[in-house]
Amino acid sequence: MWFLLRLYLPICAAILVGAIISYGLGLPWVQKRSKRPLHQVLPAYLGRFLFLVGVPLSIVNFLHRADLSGGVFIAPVVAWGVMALALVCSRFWIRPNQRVWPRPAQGTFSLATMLGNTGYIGFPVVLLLPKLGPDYFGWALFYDVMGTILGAYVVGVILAAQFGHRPDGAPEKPWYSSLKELLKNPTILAFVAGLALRPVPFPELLDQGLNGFAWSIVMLSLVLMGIRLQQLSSWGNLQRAMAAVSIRMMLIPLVVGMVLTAIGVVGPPRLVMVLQAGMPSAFATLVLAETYELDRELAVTCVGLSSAMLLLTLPFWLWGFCTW
Amino acid sequence: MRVDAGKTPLTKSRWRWVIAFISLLLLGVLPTRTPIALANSQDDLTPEDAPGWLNLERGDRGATVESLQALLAGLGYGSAIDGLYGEDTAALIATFQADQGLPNGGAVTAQTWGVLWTAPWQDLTIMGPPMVDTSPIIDPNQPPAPSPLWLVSMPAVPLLGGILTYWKRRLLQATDSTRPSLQSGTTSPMTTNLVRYFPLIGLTVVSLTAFGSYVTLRSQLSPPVLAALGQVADTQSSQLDDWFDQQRQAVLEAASASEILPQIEILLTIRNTQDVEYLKAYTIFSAYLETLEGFGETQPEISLLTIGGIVVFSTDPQREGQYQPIQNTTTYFEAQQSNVVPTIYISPISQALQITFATPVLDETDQRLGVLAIDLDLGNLDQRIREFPPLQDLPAIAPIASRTSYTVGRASLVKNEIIRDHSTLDSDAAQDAGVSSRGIDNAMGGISGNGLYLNYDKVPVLGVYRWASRHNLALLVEVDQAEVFESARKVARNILAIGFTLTALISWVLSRRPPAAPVSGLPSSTGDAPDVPPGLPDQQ
Repeated sequence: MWFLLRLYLPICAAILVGAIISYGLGLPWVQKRSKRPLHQVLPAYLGRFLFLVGVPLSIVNFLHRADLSGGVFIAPVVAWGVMALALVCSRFWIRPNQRVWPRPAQGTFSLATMLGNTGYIGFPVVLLLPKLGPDYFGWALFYDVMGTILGAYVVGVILAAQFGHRPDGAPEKPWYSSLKELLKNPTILAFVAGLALRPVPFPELLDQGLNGFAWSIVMLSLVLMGIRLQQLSSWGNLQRAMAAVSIRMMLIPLVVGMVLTAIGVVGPPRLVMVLQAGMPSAFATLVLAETYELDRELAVTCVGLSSAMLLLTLPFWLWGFCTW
Repeated sequence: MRVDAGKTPLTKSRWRWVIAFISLLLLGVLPTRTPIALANSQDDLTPEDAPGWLNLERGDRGATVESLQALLAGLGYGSAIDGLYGEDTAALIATFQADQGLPNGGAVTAQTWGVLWTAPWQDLTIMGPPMVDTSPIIDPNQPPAPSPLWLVSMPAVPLLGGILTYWKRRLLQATDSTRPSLQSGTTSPMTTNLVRYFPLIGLTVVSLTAFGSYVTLRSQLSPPVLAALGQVADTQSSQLDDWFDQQRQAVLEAASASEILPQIEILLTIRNTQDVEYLKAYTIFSAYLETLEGFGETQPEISLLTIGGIVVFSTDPQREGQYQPIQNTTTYFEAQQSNVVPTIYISPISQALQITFATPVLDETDQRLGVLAIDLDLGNLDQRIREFPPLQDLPAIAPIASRTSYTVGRASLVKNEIIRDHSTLDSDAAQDAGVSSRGIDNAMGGISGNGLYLNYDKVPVLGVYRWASRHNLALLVEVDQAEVFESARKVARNILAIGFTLTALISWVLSRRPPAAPVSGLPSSTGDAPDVPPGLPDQQ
């Protein structure tokens, strides 16, 4: 189990650093000394930097060295299967008591079950796990870009619009407006660029520099996650959040793992798929919940609870699906 | 009115009993067809467990003898089927056993039955005895796999529970509504929840059962395979010893033949390649090397060097006249040295791993005339090691096609390479990085052991690794995990298929039931309201 330590140590350290930074910036005497609320400004800037520069560049880097052979294209299929299964399962959970579920809560519940944080935490887990490493980054990347991101921007937006309200005063947007957002998404652009750049050999210096930068981005995104987790305030709706998190992090990875086993996908690809399917609820849930006036409190609880749960579920999936 | 309302769903839905009955039938029939049942059937052939009627001897008669004769006839041994084990039959059996390399001349044992049953009927008369691998697989060490019935009944238990609960509920509901009593809420909330959340519960239970069986079976499958691989590694280790001993002996013999000494002397002293004496000596020496038998099937490159290291003769003529350093790369030894650890280096010509044995050629007065340097045919070594020993005694790995064994040598401080025939080396293959896996790295570090790991090609394998310190080589014997765990995978697949089908079926039946009304009021008589059951107690 020494490899768990090698995985947990960097992840927990980075998240802890983020949490401490956030806590420090939130202290009254720090706030008094700065003109702007630093504890809100810093994560906003950091998030913007990661979204626009950091993550795209690290995707180009990892895509350049990832192994894309061996049916990596089933990763998006698995991702869509996971989202469909999650939607069905969340309906099965809600349906018997539909009357007591407010519509915004239903929307948040489905979104939290459906969308996993495959980018900010999923990538580091696959990259840092000694049993997987950058060789299998391709699987995680295809799962995230062609599965989760597309799912969040298409199905997620439609679902959120169904269950929530339009933002006040906003004019009614045509359905394809979210698709336009999708085309402007730097992650997807980087994905396309990375695929195009794969045959081009990078000069030694650029290659090494990019790799170092990419790994610091991995750690930095964990720090940002720590900051955001520290700022999650509410722990309301714990019961509903428990249900969503249990379906998302226990039932779905189990079904995915066994179905993949049954159809003959074994070895490292299966482990990557199970881990990606079992990632905590995405921050996108929170964003969507805020934009479409869904149950924000439930979204916050789901994200926090599931992130903590990950530490418990990871060893289980490794025990079940990693035999090397 | 109430009576009617209560009874209607029961009478209307009699066909649902049929579905439940079919599901039960499925449960009873399907398990017997699982591959585990087939896999186990071979275990029945162990001599200790064989039923008494299988052992036949001269004088026996009856239906068993008849089927024996029929089997023999089908294989082309005799034609009479009279049910009497007489002299004729005994002779046929003895012939058959001799053909198959079986003991027990004349008497029929479980082993003979096994070979009779597994022999390919039509081909046998034409093609002769079958290969050894088709002999029955017997392994007393392997723990028996759990019966398929047990495995499949595990998910069936909760599912059956679900069905029974549902029908109990239906009956209770019917009787409740027949008497207008106040105890309408007799069904417990637990039962209600079980029914209402059945799809989720079913999904969870089926997946968990499949997962549990898969993990359990998997953990049972690996120890016998690892043990068998360990035995193979032992055999291959001694193969390795034999091969190197043979090569060393052959090198010494080649260098110490007194009848060829005059020619060697001429080759080493006369450097004029046009000299008649020299050409004569060259031809004789060349012919002498052809007759060397010590090297067996291997085809090493043999060179004769002066003491200064100049090649005066080589089976690879391109090397003649060139300088070949003896110090660093070659493994230099003399006849009295008993323990020779080979030095491995990367050949500058073929870019593959190479071992060069070198030994001095001495004249009658034990003066060193020159050096005989021999590049060992490592392709042959690789071929030898990759060939598995006969596997009759190792049933755990006999049916596994992905088994492989190979040797790895150190190419540099940071790089290890597989020993192989350099002619098969792909020039532009990504060999530059060397090979690495947990097995290779451990063995190179001097640790021998076994385990589950990714091989150098990133394929999960079960492997045994040994460090052969006498030869400076790591020996690895591996099989693919996917193939070893195949039976566990199939069991999981069957459980999933049956479980998911039943869950879907039962969920569908439940979704079409009349909505529950445990609080009060009339139970609805129309069962087609799958969406929102009215009057449910609030669940928090």
